[in-house]
Amino acid sequence: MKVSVGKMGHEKNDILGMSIRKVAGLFHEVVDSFEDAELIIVSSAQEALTMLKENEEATVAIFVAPNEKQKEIGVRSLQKAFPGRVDLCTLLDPKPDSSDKMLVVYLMEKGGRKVENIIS
Amino acid sequence: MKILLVDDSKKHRKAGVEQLSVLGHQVVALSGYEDAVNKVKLGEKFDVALIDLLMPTEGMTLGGEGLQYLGQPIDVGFSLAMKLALEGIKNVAVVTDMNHHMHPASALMDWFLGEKLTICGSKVRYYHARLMDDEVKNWAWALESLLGDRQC
Repeated sequence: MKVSVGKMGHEKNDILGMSIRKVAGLFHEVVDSFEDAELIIVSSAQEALTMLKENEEATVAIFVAPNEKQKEIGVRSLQKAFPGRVDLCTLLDPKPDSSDKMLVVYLMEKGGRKVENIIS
Repeated sequence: MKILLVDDSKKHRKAGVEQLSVLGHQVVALSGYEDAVNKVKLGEKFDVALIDLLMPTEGMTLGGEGLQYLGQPIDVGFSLAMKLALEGIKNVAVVTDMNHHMHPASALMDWFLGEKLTICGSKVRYYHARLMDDEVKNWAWALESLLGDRQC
């Protein structure tokens, strides 16, 4: 799968973005342009909305940290507005009753890997 | 002429750029209304704005709990037309396909079809989009209608 990873933070070196690109590269082809991507990973709900409009074929995954409640509200709204095209990825274990995935697990599963008990 | 085109659908934007460029116009096509307003407020000048009616709600104008509406379709064309007129664009047309009847507020656009509205000295018109064979909006028709004041 062709994956594009957006900027993940305000830092100049964007360590988180670089790390996600590395992990994504283990299971997918990482591309520079979001226009060529089948899966786009971003860290803001507003940026996700832009991507959903600019690449109408792609799935967009938004990376949400545990304390980012407002962002999660935005992502839930996007999931309603663009059914089947928006996924929420977490840093830690997702809520047990949700369809959310931890980012690494998400990337592995999108790459066709079966993941069992990655934490334990 | 320099034309600002705002539509959340990529196929409609692409069609607009193709159709209007062939006619010799310079087209700036944007997918979101906040970008459009920011561009105009920063001083970029346009002769004409052609805009969609229903577009996804964007984040900058939402605060806190308002984020629960992010991405939901709203009839922003009404407000955007007024804002662009206030910012000095002299010719503004809201061009929507029939999806505006899926939303109770945007369906009221039909009240204004063919009406000659003036906002702050700018011409504002509402049109049902004419569609080309490939189901994209006929922006050239909309532009001609706006400038020629064709009844719809």
